[in-house]
Amino acid sequence: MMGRLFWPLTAAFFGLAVHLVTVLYMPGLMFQRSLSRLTEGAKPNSFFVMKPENQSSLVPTATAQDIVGLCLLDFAKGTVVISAHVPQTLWRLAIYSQSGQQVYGINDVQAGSGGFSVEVARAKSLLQQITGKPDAEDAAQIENVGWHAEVPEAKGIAVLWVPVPDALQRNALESALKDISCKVK
Amino acid sequence: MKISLGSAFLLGGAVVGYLTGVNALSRSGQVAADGKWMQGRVDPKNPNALYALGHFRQDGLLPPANGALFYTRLVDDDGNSLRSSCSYQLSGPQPAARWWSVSAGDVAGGKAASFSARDAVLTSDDQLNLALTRRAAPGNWLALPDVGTLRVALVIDEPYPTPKGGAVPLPSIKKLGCE
Repeated sequence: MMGRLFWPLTAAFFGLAVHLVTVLYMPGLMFQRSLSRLTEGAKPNSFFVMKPENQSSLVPTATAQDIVGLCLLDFAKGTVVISAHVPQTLWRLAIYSQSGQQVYGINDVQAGSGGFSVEVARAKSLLQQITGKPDAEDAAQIENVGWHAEVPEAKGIAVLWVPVPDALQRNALESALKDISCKVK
Repeated sequence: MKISLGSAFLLGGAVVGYLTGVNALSRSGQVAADGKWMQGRVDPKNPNALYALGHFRQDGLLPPANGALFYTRLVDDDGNSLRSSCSYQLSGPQPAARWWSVSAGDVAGGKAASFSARDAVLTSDDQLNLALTRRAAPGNWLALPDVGTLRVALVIDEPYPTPKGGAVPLPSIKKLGCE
């Protein structure tokens, strides 16, 4: 009986493994390949404005008329702080984990004024939470820089989307956005 | 004989696993919205969110940010594929949102031309009429790129009031003619 079921069961488990690789590993691989192509030459933890023709290849909701700025977050060297003074216009900052999950978002209305600062850190693992310092001590280490976000993975992506309300303002907006800071604290 | 039988089982399992994975990724991340429009989204509360994320990531895309509604459409009101050699009229209420845009490009979303809230001239009752055609048209005009089969995307950013159950009124796309 067991002998007859061996190969069907093995095939079922093998099929399940292939299914999981297809849905878990392959999309990540393809995303990383595409991201590397679109951000060729960009350093981690530095803010840059994407080429208009590439924007919709990464951010499906963006058009070539919008401005999209990126910061490839890498927490290997510590917490990253994104600080900006965005001109009075519509904008949204979204922070994604490496696996594409949005972990944080803020827009011009929520920020109140044109300036904002977000401290992005890697979330502690369960083991670190158990063996680490108590929360009160951790809280004392966080400077009051504005907002705080945690990413559950070692890398992430911060995306600033700014629709351009008037084509004549594009150059001025792009220049202003290039001053956005994204660096290790 | 036993080895070849085992190999056949494994190969069959691999093929089935791969095909079901690809099928699940292509079907996830999109939900039907108002007839012909499909909404692309990732609902983190949905147990299939992993598949929905994979749907975007396999195309190198980040999922739409929270607050941005992302709709795509491949067919006109009669159910025929949208083609760049044809002319269409997109009509409906102006999206009640902080920002919106309509873009038309190839089925993968590339080579797209766009038209946004900044460009729109509305009728007195806040209706949006937008000509989608390769030839210059009076009023609101989105010049279609020469891509063959078209995909039209509608992005509504921060709609107000916040829709309950995705009940955002979406425009129709009526074919006017083909070259």
